[in-house]
Amino acid sequence: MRSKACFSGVLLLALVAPGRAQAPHVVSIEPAAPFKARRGGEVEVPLRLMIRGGYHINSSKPAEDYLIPTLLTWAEAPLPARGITYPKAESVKYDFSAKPLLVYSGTVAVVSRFQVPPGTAPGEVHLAGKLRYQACNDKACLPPRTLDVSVSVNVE
Amino acid sequence: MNRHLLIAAALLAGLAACSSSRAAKDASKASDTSAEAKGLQAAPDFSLPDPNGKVVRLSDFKGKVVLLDFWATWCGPCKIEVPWFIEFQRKYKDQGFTVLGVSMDEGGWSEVRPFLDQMKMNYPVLLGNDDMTAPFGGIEVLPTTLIIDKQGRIFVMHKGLTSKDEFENAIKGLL
Repeated sequence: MRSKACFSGVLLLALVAPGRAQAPHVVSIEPAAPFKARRGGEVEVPLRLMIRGGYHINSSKPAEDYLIPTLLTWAEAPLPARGITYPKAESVKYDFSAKPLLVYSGTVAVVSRFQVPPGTAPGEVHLAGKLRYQACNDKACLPPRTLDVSVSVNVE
Repeated sequence: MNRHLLIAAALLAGLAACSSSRAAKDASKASDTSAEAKGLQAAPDFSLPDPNGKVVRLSDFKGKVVLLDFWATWCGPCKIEVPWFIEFQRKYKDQGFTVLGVSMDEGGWSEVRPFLDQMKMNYPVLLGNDDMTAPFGGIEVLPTTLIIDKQGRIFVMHKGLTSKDEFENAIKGLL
């Protein structure tokens, strides 16, 4: 059912400009290679998150209730997201935590799967998403931030 | 003339570079005693609500040594320090000292109040916002903790998890 044929795209990822008095983002998103998929099928869109050295962000399912999970969401249109697969978290013990935390660091990939309805018109479509994360190092934390993610895809 | 322009341009470029990397540097330091703090500048006053809706001002505590703690419920390092602050409040509150917590949780009291109860916090906690942090230069990392002397001047500012002894020695020195 899943197909990447006959569907080419270009990913354009835009970062929201930092707001007033906000710390700079410690996560950036690397544009992925173009994708191909068939109308009526599905397309996978991996996003590579690059986390600044020395920092971690909480996984999508943190070890503690009080921690803010990493969460990628997409607008329903024009292509509905059918699932998001987060990377396997690392279990790391920090001085400030009684038990190991489940975190992401370095470069990790979050893979989104979109349905391509049969009636999708050929041409460029734009997928809009938001990545919310909260970063810390071993001594301090930065406030939660949200990155706008914009994906442009050319449907052939 | 040209030389002056070059110097000005270099200074501006330097400032821009410092500004963009400041938060990262701040977050990577365990305990940063800022230059501003050493200059003993007056702590900017602010007024914020407590859990009962009463507006509390920093200047209400003038004449006391104040440990001003910017924290959040989602901040692991902050949770290490809170029990120390509870202890300081118990030990020194009768000697002209208070801890004042400012929560930076975006979700408001519904997020903060359960934590206050769970930790049995014995000092005033207020709900902060970005506007009130601006005069402090913006609170970009948590925890950020200031110790303010009896004259309302910033004696020291720590960004990130700091040792209990460091806090306590400063408090005792100011009392």
